[in-house]
Amino acid sequence: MATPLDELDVNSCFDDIALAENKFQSEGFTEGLQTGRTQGYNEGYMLGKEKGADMATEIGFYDGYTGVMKSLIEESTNEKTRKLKALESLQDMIQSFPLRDPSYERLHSDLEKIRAKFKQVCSLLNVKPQFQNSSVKGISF
Amino acid sequence: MTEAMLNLVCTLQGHLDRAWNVAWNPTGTLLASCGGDKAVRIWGKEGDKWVCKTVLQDGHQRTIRSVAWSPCGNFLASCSFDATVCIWDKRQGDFECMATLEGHENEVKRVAWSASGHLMATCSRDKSVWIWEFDDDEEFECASVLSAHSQDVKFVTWHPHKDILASASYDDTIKFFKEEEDDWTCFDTLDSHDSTVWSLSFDKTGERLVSCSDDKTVKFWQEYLPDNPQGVATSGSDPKWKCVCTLSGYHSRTIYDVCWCHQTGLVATACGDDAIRVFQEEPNSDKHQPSFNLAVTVNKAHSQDVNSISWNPKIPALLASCSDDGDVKIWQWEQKS
Repeated sequence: MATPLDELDVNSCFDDIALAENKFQSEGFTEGLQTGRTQGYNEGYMLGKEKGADMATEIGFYDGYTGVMKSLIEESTNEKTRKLKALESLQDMIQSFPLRDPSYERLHSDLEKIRAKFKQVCSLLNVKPQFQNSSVKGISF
Repeated sequence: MTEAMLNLVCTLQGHLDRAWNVAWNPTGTLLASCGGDKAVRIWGKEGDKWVCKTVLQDGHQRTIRSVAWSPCGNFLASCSFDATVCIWDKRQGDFECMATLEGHENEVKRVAWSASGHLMATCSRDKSVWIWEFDDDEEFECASVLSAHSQDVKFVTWHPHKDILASASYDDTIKFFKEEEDDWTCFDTLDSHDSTVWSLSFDKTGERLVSCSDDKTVKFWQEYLPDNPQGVATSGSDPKWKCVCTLSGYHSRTIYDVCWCHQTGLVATACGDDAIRVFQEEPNSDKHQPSFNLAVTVNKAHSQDVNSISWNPKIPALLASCSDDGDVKIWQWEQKS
């Protein structure tokens, strides 16, 4: 919608021309910021989804493994108690791990403790840990 | 003024690569050394001469980083960059490999036996410390895996008579561990070194500890129990360790090992500047603010980095050292007044 010529103020016309660069720069900035925000959010979302899924997969693996080994050992009566104790304490650690609270302060240190306990369990059961998930070996930021 | 000397008793040659660690057996009659040639050498005295009694090979695929005798003297543990620990049984005369412990993900740096002989600790580049229980059936079981350090763990050592473990790491800290309800926990972290802590040594009482580091300092630590008269804050029933003395300016490069003699109280250091130094505590020094004097420096004690030193547990002031040059040397401290 062009403004009729006779209504134009000469000063504002000159202003428009002189300040055009500033104006377009600021419009471009706002638009770019918006696009960047959306893209960054999506990237972050995907990364978070991946890392979160990795962590949950790992915990899930330990949970399943521990449950099965525990019931197998409980079936055979003559087993040493240290194995059971270690399995039980690993199970407790897994159950108290707050999977749905990503802001939990000790998320990573607790995960390290679970990994260490799992290593002890594997050593006691004389098995080699088989868990191999994409990139889970030590999440670092 | 007294004059002190460290006299070379003998040079033991045999390792084909750098020699990493030396360890005396509990009676002080045998010295074990290990190195990059994947061999453990056992040295003993025949007449007046120190000779190589046995060479243990084929136990490890890579460099053997350290060796440790059990308190009974019947077993020798060796740990290697191949991620395993071998237990050698000497009761039949020759050393027989009775167990290989697996579990660490990569290079095992140090192995240490507790005073009771029922516990053994290992540490690794995988940042973890493992505690093994050695039961009456002579089986090793993993009692705990500790991932308290954030980097490579260089050293572990046990309290001289309690089941307390101390560890030192590339994360610049020293940590203390104790057993608590079926598992082991860290109860103190000492973080006043500015770089990698390479080695630790308790005095004979276990109330004092000395540490050495890549920051070229040696630090002395004092244990403070709850309700101590000095007013050092502790938490719960756990003791608190406090740095009471720092020796700086004596060493020009990384200090790789430190050993506190349980008989004479002398403190020896092994340094990357090829020298061995011996420090002596001032008479009547206050243990809450002790002073140590440099009594002897042996420059060019070895032709390359000195990696490890150890005081003989029975023969007073007899010191063993080993180096990147592959040599193992035995020294006798002497003091004239």
